[in-house]
Formats: sequence, structure tokens, C-alpha cells
Amino acid sequence: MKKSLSLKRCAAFLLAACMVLSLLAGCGGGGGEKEPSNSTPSTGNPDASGGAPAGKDSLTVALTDEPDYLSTCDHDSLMGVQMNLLTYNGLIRIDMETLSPVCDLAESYTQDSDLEWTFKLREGVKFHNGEELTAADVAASIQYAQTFAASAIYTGSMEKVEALDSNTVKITTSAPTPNLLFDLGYHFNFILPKSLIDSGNDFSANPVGTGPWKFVSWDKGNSIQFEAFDGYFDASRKAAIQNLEFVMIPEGSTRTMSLEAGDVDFVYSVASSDIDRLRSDESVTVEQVVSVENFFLFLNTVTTAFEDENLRKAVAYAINREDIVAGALNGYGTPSYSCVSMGYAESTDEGSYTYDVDKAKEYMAAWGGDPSTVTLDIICSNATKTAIATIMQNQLSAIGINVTINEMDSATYQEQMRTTDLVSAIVSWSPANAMTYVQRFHSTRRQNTPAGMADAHMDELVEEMNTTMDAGARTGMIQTIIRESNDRCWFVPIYQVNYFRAHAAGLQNVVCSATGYVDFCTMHW
Amino acid sequence: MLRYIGKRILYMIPVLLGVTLLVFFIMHLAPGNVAAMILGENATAEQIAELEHEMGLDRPLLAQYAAYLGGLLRGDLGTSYTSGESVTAKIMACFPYTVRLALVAAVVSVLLALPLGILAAVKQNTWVDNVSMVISLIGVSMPIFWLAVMLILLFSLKLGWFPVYGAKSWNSIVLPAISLGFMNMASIARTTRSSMVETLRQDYIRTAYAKGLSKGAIVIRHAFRNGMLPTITVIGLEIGQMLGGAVLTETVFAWPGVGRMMIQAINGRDTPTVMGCIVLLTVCFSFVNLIVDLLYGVVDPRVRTMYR
Repeated sequence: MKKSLSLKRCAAFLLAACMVLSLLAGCGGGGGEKEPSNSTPSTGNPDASGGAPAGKDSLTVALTDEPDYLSTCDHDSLMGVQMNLLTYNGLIRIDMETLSPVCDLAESYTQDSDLEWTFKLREGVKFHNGEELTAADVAASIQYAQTFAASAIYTGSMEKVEALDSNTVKITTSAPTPNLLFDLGYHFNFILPKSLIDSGNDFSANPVGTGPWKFVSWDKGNSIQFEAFDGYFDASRKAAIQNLEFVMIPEGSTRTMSLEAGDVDFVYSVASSDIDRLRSDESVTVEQVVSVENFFLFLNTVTTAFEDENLRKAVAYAINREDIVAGALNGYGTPSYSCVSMGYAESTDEGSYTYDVDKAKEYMAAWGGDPSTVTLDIICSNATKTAIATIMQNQLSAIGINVTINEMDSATYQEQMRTTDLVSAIVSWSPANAMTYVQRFHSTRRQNTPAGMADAHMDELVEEMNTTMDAGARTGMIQTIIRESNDRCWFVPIYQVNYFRAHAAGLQNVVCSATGYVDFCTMHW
Repeated sequence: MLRYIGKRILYMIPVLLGVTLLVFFIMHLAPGNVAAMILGENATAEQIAELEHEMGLDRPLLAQYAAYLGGLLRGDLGTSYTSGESVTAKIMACFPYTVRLALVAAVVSVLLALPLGILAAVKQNTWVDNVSMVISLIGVSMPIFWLAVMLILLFSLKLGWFPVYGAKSWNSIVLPAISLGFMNMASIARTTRSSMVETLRQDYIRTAYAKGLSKGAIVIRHAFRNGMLPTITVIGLEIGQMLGGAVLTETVFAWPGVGRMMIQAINGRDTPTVMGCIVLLTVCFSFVNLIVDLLYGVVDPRVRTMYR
């Protein structure tokens, strides 16, 4: 009995000690709940976060994933493109605030005919290796990009790229290409030195461009270092941060704690569970951007009951997006009703369907089928998508539709998307512009998603838009396509992702794009 | 002895063959198309087929496996599907970090576990024993992820003693090693205790007391040495496991080791990298087992005679 009591006492003592340790740890800087008042930051490190130490000219950025490549043409990943934006420029750049194309290495351009464009290059632009940019580099870079299969949709329209003289480039397209400027701002078409292309340089190991930062080193799995390029051509976008380091921290809470401890200055992706805590920390600024990344419920409109428009509309009316954002995303998302994200100049939510169970039931009646014969099998490639599908399962039961959920890894998911056996999937997409977005509504996209929409009228609209060179008329056409797609309800929009970036409060002029990128050029301490 | 070592190294060959065969087929039989995943949603069927041909994925599985084994014999673990790098180079870049973490964590766990286990056995059924066993129970049952976060909150955020992440400075290893070592400490301490309790009940220990030897000498020189065999086995297993990569610890502390790389490779269906990591894990386990067997001979002369 005595021994048993002793054991209990010891256990109780140790458990108590353990709890005290947790409490002590929980009271650490940034941890626990803080009053959102003028309280002094309580981080252990005196240099932590808040105002930058005088003369600070470096920035450490915590990334979730390491990019696979630093070259321009071997990838199409967010992190890879973010790295490309540091070391390279295109003839055109997509402005991160307006998402519009603006001149970059091109000083000006003229459209000579529907098929011919002439670009005048800025003079005196240097590559990081000291060579001067010429039209021959531009021609060689685009021709080099055309050799990569993945670049086809951004380079395929350019039939001929010629250097007319040392700083004039003429691009001839195979058909009228109103999207050409956007294509030229895409990373596949960034400009590399011809001499290095010819010598077979590995641009991932040795990324040499004209960008605002020069590559210094890449310690795989650890960090990537860049330094400001003194010879950068654009004085208005010359880097104020001299030394830029990216570190890989896959775990969300570790990224947050690194920021709180002052070990990093910028967190590229904040875990949703940490957002409230960071917002209450005065030494940290949280940037929230409603992105153009749209999550939607993809429906097989070819071989399933969802071929019927009334049934699709019933589903669209029965889904409460606000509940999904609250339940699956902790409220950190923006309910979406239009098939093209809001945020582009051409965006509109006309013709879309909001939550209304009564109307959903009306459309079920108009469909006239037996709901018990319909099973909406939703495939999901991660836990968030599964959480969304689970909430939908409950919501769609109100109109008698049975939902089954099937979570799988990305490779299996992508393979399923390429079959007609697929019934439904939670899908996301975030193209850089509305025109690229609506290409999805053309039936040619069915070669990769054969269960997707196919409609002759929609094909005509997209084809007409693709050859409309007048910007105003094109905007009108894009809006028509969006409106009609919303109305036909080919798929059900759910929400637009909100990006959360966090940084030391002393870091100024932080611009985060709705397409997911961060403009490091504008930042300063 | 050399003959024994040679024999054991030869035994590794069928083990490696079996493991690589199993993993290779599991990875390839899993649904999903690697080429389609690499090329993304815009890729056409022709482009996917072309990439599959380039990667050799259109060949029969056995031919692919044979080619892999051929490369393995030349020390070539293939090329990563996702980054295009040599898998051997990728592993060689990460493995030193994993070795460093495993060794320091092993030192931490052994330094904590042995005194704790010995004390618990010597002071069996007293409060010392109870405290030691509760500590090891906590170590076994505490989620490593939680411990790691608590350590960061206390020692990095509150006290500012150690960096939160990475492997850049000498003191970066302290927190990962403690969190990994503490968990392993628990199982080593429990094994040491039970083995020592058993040994301390032996007749020769009673004889040693009767001869008037000091308690310290009996415990360290006689009991501990004879009770070490199970402890060595557990230490060996723990080190073998840590050399294969401590996935959670490496992830929480952003430690650039093999475990983290393997998880990324599994998620990205990067078969050559996964295979490379598994081969490394198998070789590490086999070598650690060999070393453990040899250590048996060092501590127990009876075992040594069997090696001849």
C-alpha cells in the first residue's frame, strides 16, 4: 500500500512538473494569449522581429517547400517562379498589384499587325555575368523555352522570333494572340544570356539573368542565398535588401516561432492556426491577400447524371460556401460564386448561384430524377479538400444526394482526373489572368480532363475571344463567357484561397500578389 | 573474427535484394502516373508518353528493376524524378546531417538512460525506482512533436538560448538531439533496468557481496557488464532507426536530414529517391546490427568464442 502511494506521489509530482514546463514554455514570446494592446513584445531575443536593427540590409525568408529548380523552363511551380523573379526578367513583367502586363526588359512595343509585334529593348541592361543584353539573347531564350514540352501553352503561339538589330526583336505569331504580353511575362519566357544557352549552362545550378538579385549559393535542403545586383537596370525597382536568404521550414508552427524569435524576418506561408496569435503580436505584421486561386467542385458532365443542368444547379444552390469556409478553413477563405475568381479586371459574378435550399429543391424537381440513384463520389488529394467534401456531404443530404469521399495521393488523383470514370473532384486553379482562365471552358481541354465540360457554343465564344485583339471588346467577351458559364453551372465554385504572409513589423512596403508571389524588390527596412 | 564479419556483410546482399524488390514493386504498383504528375495538368497524352519513354517507365517492370540493380552495383542510385539530380548526391548531402543528429541524440539518450536504468534497478521498488520509471514512461508516451514544440517555446523563444530551426550553427543540434534522445532514452532506461534487476539477482552477485566487494564495484564491474547485452541491442536498434532519418524531429526543427527528404520523395512519388533512402536505411540497420553483434563479443567472452 505504502509503495503504491509512493508511486502515485512520484507520478503526480512528475506530471505536475511536466505541466509547469508546458506552462513556462507556453508563456514564451508570442506564445499564449496576448492583449492586443501596446504591450511590449515578450520575445526572448532582444533583436526579435519588431523594428529592424539599425543598418540591417538582409532578409531571411522562411519557405514551406524548397523549389526543385532555379532555372526558368524545368518547372511550373510557385516557389520556382518566385525564385525566377529574383534573378531574371522578361520582356514584359506582370505587375503584382494590378496583375497587368507592363514593360520590363522591353522599353516599348508596337503591334504592327494581328500577327506581328516589335519590341524595343532597354539599352545598357547587363546580365549578372557582365554581358550586355541584346536582341539575340531574347530570340535565343524564347527558342530555348520552346524546346520544353511544359512551356508549350506559353510559347506555342510564337512562330518566329527575330533579332532585327541589337536591341529590336520582332515576334510573329501563328494566329492572333491577344494574350502574348501575358505569355511573355511568364517565367518560361524569361531572358537568359545566349552565350550560356549555347554553352549548355545548367541554369538551375547557375541561374544567370538580368534580375535584381544575383544567385550566391544553394545549400540543398537548407537555404538559398542571393545578393543585390548592383548593375540592375531599373532604378525604381533596384533591391534595397542587400542579402536575401530563403530557408526551408516545412512545419508551420516552427515557421511562426522562428519569426517570433527573430530567426527569420518573413514567413511566406502562415499556418492558419497561428494567424490570430501573430495578429495580436505588435512586432509582427500579417498580410492577408484574397488570391485568385479558386477552389471548385468539378463535375463529370459527360457520363454521369450531372450532365443535366438542373441537377448541377440544384447542387450549386444546396452548397453553403460560408459554412465551408468557416468549418474547413477556420474562416480564412473567401466564399466564391463565380466560375472565374474575383480579382481580375474582367471578373464578374453575374449569373452565379448563392445558397438557397428551397431553390435547390425546385431544381431537383425540375430534374425529375430519383436522388437516391445519384452518388456524388468526390475525390480529394489532401486533408483540406476532404474537410470541404465532408461538409458538402452534409449539405447535399438536404436535397437527397448521397456523397462519398475518396482521399488519395496527388499522383493517383491526377490520374483519376484524366478518366471518364471520375464523378467529381475538389479542384483548384489560379492562372495569372482571366483570359487564360476561360481557356478552361474550351472543349480542347477535355484531352486532359475528358469528364469536363464540352459545349459548342462555349467553344465558339472562347475562339472568338482568342482572336479579338481590341482590349475593350475582349474584356466584354470574357465577361460574356464568365456569365454564361456561371449560368450553365458547369462546375460549382466554392472559395478563393486567402494567402497569409507574416513579417517583422519593421519591414516596409511589402507587396503580396493575388497570384501568390511576393515582390521583394519593393521591400526595405 | 574477420571471416565472421565478411560472412555477415555477404548476408546483407539478399537482405538488400529483398528490400529493394519489395519497395520497387510497391512504388510502381501504386496507382498514379509519375510522368503526368511531373508535366502537370496541361500535358498532352503524347508528352506524357514521351517523358515515360525518356524515364524508362514504359519498359517492363522487371527490366526497370534489373536496370536499377545494375546502377546500384555501380553506386548509382538513379536520378530524382522531381529535381533531376543524382539521388546519390542528394543522399550524400543529407546523410551527414542525419548521422550527426543520430550520434548526438544517441549520446544524449545513453548518458541519461544508463544512470537512470542502473539507479532504478539498484534502488528497486524505492522512490528512486519509481521516479526513474515514471520519467521513462513519460519519455515513451510523450509525442515527440509536442516535446519538440515545448523545447522550442522554452529554450528558443523564452530563453533565446538556441535557434528555432536549421543546422547552421553548432548549437542548432541541441534541441533536436534532446527531443530525439529523450524518446530513445526511455526505452533504453527501461531495458537497462529490467536487465540489471535480473542480473543483480544472480548467485555470483550474492557471492561478490559475500566476498566484501563494494556495492559500486559489484554494480559497475560485475552486474552492469553482464546485464548490458539487451541494452546494447536496444541502443543499436535505436541508432539504426535514427540513421534512417528521424522524420518528425527533422520536420519540426527543419533539420535537413534523410528522413525529411524521404517523406518529400514519397509525397512526390519520386521512386528513385525513396529507393535510395530505403537502401541507405537497410545498409545502416545491417551495419549497426553487425556492430551490435561484435559488441556482444567484447562484453561477453562466451560470445566471442562463437565468432571463431
